[in-house]
Amino acid sequence: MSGSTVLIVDDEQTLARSAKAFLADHGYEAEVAASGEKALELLESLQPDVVFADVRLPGMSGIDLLKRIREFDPVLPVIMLTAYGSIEGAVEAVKLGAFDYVKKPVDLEELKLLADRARENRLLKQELSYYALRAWWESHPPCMRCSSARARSPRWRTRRRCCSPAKRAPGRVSSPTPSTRQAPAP
Amino acid sequence: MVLPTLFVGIQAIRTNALEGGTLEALGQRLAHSRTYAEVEDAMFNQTQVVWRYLSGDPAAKKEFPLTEQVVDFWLDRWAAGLPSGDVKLADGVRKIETDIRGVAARVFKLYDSGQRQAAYLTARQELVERLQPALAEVNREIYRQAREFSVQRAFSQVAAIVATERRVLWSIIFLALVAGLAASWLISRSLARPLNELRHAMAVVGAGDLDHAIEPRSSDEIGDLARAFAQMTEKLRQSRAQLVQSEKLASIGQMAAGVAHGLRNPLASLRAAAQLAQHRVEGPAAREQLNAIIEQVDRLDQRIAHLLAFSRPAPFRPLRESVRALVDGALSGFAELLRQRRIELAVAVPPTLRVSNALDAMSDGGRLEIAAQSQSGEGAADDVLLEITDSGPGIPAEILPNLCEPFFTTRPEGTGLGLAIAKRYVEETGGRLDIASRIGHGTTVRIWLPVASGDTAPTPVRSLT
Repeated sequence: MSGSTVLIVDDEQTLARSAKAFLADHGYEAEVAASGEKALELLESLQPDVVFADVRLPGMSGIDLLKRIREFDPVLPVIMLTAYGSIEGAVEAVKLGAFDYVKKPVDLEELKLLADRARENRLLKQELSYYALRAWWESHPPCMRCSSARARSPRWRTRRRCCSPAKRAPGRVSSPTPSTRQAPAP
Repeated sequence: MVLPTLFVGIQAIRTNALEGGTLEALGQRLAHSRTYAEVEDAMFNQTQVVWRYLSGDPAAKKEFPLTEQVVDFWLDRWAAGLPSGDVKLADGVRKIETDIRGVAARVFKLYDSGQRQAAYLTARQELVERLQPALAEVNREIYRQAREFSVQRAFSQVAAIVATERRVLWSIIFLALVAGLAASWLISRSLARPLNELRHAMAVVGAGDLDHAIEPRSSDEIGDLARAFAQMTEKLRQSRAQLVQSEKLASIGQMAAGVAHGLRNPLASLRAAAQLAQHRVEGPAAREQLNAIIEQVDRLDQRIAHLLAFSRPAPFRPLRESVRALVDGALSGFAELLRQRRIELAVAVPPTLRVSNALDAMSDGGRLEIAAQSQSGEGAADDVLLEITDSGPGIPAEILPNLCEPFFTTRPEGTGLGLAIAKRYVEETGGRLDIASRIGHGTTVRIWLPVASGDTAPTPVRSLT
């Protein structure tokens, strides 16, 4: 099923492998990265839908990884795992954009449930953004003359033109729509 | 400092008086000389009277007795003021005066009897050539004596005064030196030494040795200073001890955190592996075993959690909490257990994790009472008193004092930290925890928490169950 790729970032091998196997048994495609740097590399190719990251990692910390992920993907759910379990850490992580914060030793069932929730959340968000974009689009029609999708000010909307006849360029595609890859399965 | 000045002043005054006396004496002497001048004048007048008579003034003869009186008067006066050694001089003068009177009488007689020439001659021979020079001689002598006498006397007096003064001044100087040395020695003993000790103590303490003893000995300002310094050192020592303590705690906290992390990661791996196996394996027996493994892992995790909670140096924010909310919150975790053990719950307000212990004590049935009341305790603020009473078997008196010690537990699977943590939290909020128990009757845990005022209040208890 779509939206079921998980990236697990933890240097604790056994835990990571067990989690990967467990998630795989439940229909997820899971990959393991042993450090923040590796995780960033994998993000590119794997395009996960959910990320689990330990707070303590060799090299870059889990929080730093979270920040880096947030730089280029504001909606990717990142769940932090930790052996400390301090409230301050949890608050900080959530403020920085973590989806949730789990204490180690972590129950694998709980892990799976979290992945489910995160995925669902992400899908919902995507659906939401699709509809939002469409709604916006529909309230902002393109220019009738040149079909260009620019100039969305209210002025244009009433006039429905943004250009003089000379500006019209042949072969212009009209009404670009949002990517259908993101469209939710109903 | 004052005394020598005083002495010098007194001496000066005395000297002044003495010198004044000397001057006065000198003045008297001069006056005395003037008195003699009167005598001289009187005697001169006498001879003049004789000459006047001789030159034909008949009234002169009658004046002569008057002059005698005048001379007597002045002579007596003068003689009275003579010092004893010079009485001879007066005799000399008197003798001459007597001679003058004799001569005058003879001259008058001669003149009256008509022998004017003889009278004149006698007058000339006796008065002018004999008596007047004699008188002049005596006069010179007298004046000389008087001068010498008075000047000499004045001189020797002043010399004596000067000598005395010099002596006195030297002795004042000497005394002042001695007294000064004595005083400075005394001062050094009573002032400089304590100051020195204090300075030394300050240096030692300043270098870091806060255990140096400071004994204020005197009750004056130096003593006060020493006492104040001792107090300050004591406070410094206390706060340093506190600092060391909290540093220890902080490092324990850090170590604990490190240890916890180091332990929890392998535990996580264990648990995950066991869970995965449990998920995949066939057969309830195997699952059972794996379950047991997972349980043990959870238990270990519990211990670690307790340890962490106990050793955390507690960045600790007391929050407002309604007492009722506290109870309900804490109790919700126990609802299941309560039901299982058929324990009747009478809640009048909140408890904490102590409910866990109470529940353990009442494994089958029983009554758990939780009551809260507002109490005006010692100290300014009112307290809220929470009482958790169970109807379990009670706690033996011998172990009551040890209950809240860390790592003290009677349960095989206990960490021994629950009560210690509770007590610490309660005390850090400013409250008190007390446990009373009787064998066979149950146990009551009393917790006093300060009533919220301003923005600090009873802390929300973290549920550590």
